[in-house]
Amino acid sequence: MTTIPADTAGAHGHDDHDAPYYASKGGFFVNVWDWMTTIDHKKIGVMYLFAVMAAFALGGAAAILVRLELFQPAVTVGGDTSGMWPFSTNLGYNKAFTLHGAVMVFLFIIPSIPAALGNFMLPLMLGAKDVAFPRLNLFSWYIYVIGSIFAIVSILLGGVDTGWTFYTPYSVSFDQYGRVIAMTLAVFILGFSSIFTGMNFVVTVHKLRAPGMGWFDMPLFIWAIYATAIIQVLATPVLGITVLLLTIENVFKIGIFNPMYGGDPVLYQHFFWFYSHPAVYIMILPGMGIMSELIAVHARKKIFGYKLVAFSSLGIAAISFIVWGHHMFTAQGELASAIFSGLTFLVAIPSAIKVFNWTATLYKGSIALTTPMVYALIFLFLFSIGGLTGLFLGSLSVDMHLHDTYFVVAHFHYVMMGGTVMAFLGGIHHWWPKMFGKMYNERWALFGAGLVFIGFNMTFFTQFFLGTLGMPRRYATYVDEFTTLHQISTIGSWILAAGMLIHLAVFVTSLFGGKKAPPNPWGGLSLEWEAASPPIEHNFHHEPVVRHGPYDFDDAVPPHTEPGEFPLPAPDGKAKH
Amino acid sequence: MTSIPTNSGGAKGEYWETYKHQPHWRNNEDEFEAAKLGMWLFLATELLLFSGFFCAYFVLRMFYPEAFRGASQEYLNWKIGAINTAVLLISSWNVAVAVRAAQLGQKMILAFNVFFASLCGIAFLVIKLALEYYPKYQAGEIPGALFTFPGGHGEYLPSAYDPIFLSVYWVSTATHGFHVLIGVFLLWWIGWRALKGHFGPKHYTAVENVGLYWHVVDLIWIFLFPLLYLVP
Amino acid sequence: MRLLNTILVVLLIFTGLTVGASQIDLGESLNLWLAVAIATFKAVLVAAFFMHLLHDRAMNSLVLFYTALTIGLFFLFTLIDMDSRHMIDDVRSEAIKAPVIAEEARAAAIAAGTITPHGHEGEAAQGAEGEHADEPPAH
Repeated sequence: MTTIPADTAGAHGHDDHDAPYYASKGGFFVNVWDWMTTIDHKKIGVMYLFAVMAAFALGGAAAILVRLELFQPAVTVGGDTSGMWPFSTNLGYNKAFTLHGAVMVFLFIIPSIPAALGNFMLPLMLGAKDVAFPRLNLFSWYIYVIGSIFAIVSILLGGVDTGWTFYTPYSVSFDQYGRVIAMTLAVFILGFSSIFTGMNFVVTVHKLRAPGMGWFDMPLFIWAIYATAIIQVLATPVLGITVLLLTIENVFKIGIFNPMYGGDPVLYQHFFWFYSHPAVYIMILPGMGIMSELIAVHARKKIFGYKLVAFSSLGIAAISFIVWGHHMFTAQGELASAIFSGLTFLVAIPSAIKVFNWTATLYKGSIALTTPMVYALIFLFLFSIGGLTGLFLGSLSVDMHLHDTYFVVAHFHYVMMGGTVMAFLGGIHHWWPKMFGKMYNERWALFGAGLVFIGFNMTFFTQFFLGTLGMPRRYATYVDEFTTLHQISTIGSWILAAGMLIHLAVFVTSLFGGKKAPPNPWGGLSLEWEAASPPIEHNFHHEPVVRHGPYDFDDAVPPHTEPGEFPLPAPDGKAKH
Repeated sequence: MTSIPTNSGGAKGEYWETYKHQPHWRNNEDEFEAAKLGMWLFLATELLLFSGFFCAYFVLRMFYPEAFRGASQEYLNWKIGAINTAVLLISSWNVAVAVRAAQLGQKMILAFNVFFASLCGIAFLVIKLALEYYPKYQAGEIPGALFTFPGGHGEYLPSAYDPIFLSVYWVSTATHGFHVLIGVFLLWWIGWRALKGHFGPKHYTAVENVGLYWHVVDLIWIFLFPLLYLVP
Repeated sequence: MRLLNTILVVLLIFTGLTVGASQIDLGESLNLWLAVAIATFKAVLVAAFFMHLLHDRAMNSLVLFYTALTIGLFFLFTLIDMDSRHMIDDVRSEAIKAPVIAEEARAAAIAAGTITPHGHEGEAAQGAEGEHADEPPAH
C-alpha cells in the first residue's frame, strides 16, 4: 500500500475528526456565517462551483435567445415584430450575444475549472491541508462575486452591445448611462480574482507538495493547473490595464485608443488580445488536465508519455504569449500578420502531443464506459475537430476569407465548449462522489451526455458550413438561403439545453437522494482518493506520504480497495495487458 | 551577520520569538518562503500592469515624436522629476536598511527607517500634487478632451497631439501615485507593528514583503522619470 | 550596510547621468535607448541588492526574469506591427489617426488668439495669458 491510510468518514461513529467538511456547525445562521467566512479550500471550491454554474445558466439562457432569434431570417422572435420581445431588435440581439459572450468568458469558463474543481482538488491531490494562502482564496471568491455584481448591473442598466471584446472606438463612443464602464470595471475586478487564484496555486504547488512527491509524481491535472496559473499571473494584469485605460478613456476622454483624440484602435486590439489569447489557454489547459485524469483512471492504464504531457502544458503556456496577433489578421499590418500566422502553428505541436498521448493511453486499456470516460471520449472527438479547424484559421490567406464568419464561431465553440465544458462536465462527474459523498445515477447521466453530444454537433457543425458559405457573425438577420442550416443549428441548441437540464436534475437528485459514495469509487491512485468521501475538514488524518506515481496502475493497489477489485467492469474478470 | 542581540526589545516571549505558523504549513521557514514567492508573483503582476502604460507610451511616441518632445519639455519640469526620483531612491534605501535591521533585531532602527521611508513617500506625493498636478489642473493642461490649449507658453505652439502626451503622463503617474499612497499606509502599519515589537530575526515576513512592494514602486518610477521628463 | 550605501550613491549618480544624457542630442532613438538602458541598469541594481535577489532563492529571480521576458514579448510584437504598417500595404501606411476633436480645438484656440500659429505675434499670446477663456472642446 501506498500511504498511511485515512479512515473512512463515519466509520468510527461520531468523532468530530471524522465529520465531513460540510458538517453542520449549528443553526441556519451559524452555518451561513461559517460558509461565508470559511477559509477551507473545499468550501470555497464548492461556493465557486455553484457561482459558476449560475453564470453558466445565465450565459446559456442568452445563447438560447440568440439561437431563437436566428430561427428565421427576419429580425423577430417567434414572428413578433412589435419590439415587445426584448431581443427581437438588432440592438436587443447585440445585447444578447454580448451578454452570452461576456458572461461565458469572464464569469464562467475562466474561473470554472481552476477556481471550482482546482480549488477543491489541488490541495487534496498534493496531500496538503489547504492552499498556500487560504484567506486570499476567500478574498478572491468575494472579488469574483463583486465583479459579477458589476457585470449584472451593466445588464440591468440596459445591457452592453459591444461584444465581449469591447473594441474601440465603438466602446468609447456610444456609451449611455455608463453601461460599458460598469462592464469594463467588472472585467477589471474579475481579473484580480483570477490573478489571486493563480498566485495561490503557483505557490501551493511549489511549497505544499506532500513528502515524497517530486515534480514528476504530481498528477497531470496539477501540471495543467500550474501552467494555467502561470498564464493567469502573467497575462491577466495586461487585461487589467487595458480595461482600466478603456474605463478612463470613457470617463475622461483621454486619447490612447480613440482615434478622435489621436489614439490608435489597433493598439487596443493588441492590448486586448495579449491577454485574451493566453486566456483561451487559461480556459482549455485545465480541461486538458482533467482529460489526463479521466483517461488514465477510467482506462486503468499508465498515462502514455507522462513527461511529454506535463511539458506540453508548459509549452502551450509559453507559446500562448506569442500568437495573439492571429485574432487581428484583418486589422494589423501584413508583416505582423505573417509572423503571427507562422507562430500560430507552433501551438499545434503540444496540443497534438496531448491528443496522441491520450489516444495511446487508451490503447489496450481496460476502458470502463462511465460518464467521465464518455465525456473524455467526447472531448477527444470534439477537440480534434476544433483544433484542426484552428489550423485553417491560423493560415493567413484562408483566414482572410473566414474571418468574422460562423466558421470562427463554430471553431471556438468546438474548442471552448467541446473541449473545456465537456472536460468540466466529465471532471464534475469524476469527482462528484469525492466532493459530496454521493453517487449519481449513471444511466441518466449517460443519457444526458448523449443528448449533449448530439445537440452540440447539431448546433455547431452546421455553423462550419454557414461560415464557409459566407454567413458573418454578430448579425441578427441573414439571407434566405441560410435558413435551413440555421434552423438545424437552433434545434440542436434545444437538444443541447435538454441534455444540460438532465445533468442538472441528476446532480440535484444525487445531492438529496443519492447512494452513499465509497472513498474510491473509480480505483484512482492519486492522493485525493486517500481521503474520505467527502473529505474531513483538514483533508487527511495524517500527512500522506507518496510512494508511487499517480498512474502506476500496473503495480499499485488503489487506496481503500481490495486487490483484484479493480478494474471494475471487466467481463472476463481480468484486465488485459 | 551578527548573532541575535540580547537586548533590543527582543526579550524572551516577544511576538516574533513565539510566532507559530498557520496550521497548514509544516514550519515557519516554509511559510516565510511561500509568502515571499507569493509577493514576487504579485509584484510580477504589478510590473505587467504598468507595462501597458509603457507600451502605449512607446507606440504613441513613435507616432508623434515631435509632439512628445515638445510637450515633455514645455509642460514638465525635469527638476521636479529628478528631486522626486532622489526622494524615492532614498526611501528605498531606508526600507532596505529596515529589513536588515529586522533581521538583526534592531527594533528602533527598523521603526525609524520605516517611518522615514513613509515620510519620503508623503514628500513625493506632496511635491507631485502641489508642484505638478495642481498648477497643471489650473492651467487646463489635463488630458484628452478637457485639454484647453492654454496660452502662457510664449513662443511655444501646442501640437494637436499634446493632449496625448499628457494623457499618458497623467494616467501613468496617477496610477503610480496611487501605489505610493498605498505603500505609505503599508509602511505605517509596519512601523506600528515594529514599535510593538512584532518583528525580529525569527519573524519578519511583513517587513520583507512590504519592503519588496516599496522597491517595486521605486523601480517603476525609475523608468517613468526619464521617459516622461527627459525627452530631448 | 556599506553595500547598501554604495548602491544608493551609484543610483543617485546614474539619475544625474540620465539627466545629463538627455541634454545632449544624440537623435531620437539613440537618446531613448540610452535612457532605457540607464533605467534598466538602475532597476537591476535595485532588484539585486535592495530586493536582495542576489542572495535569495533562484525561484524569485526566475519570476522577475519571466516577467521581464513577457513584457519584452508584449512590446516586441506590438511595436513590430505598429512600425511596419507602411512596409507592404499603402492603405495602412499611415497610423490610424483622425484626431478631429483635438485638431478642431487647436484650430479654435488659434482663431481665438490664445495660441499663435507662428509664435511671432507675441502680443496675442500675451493678451490671453492667465485667462484660459477658450471653451472646452466638444465631448
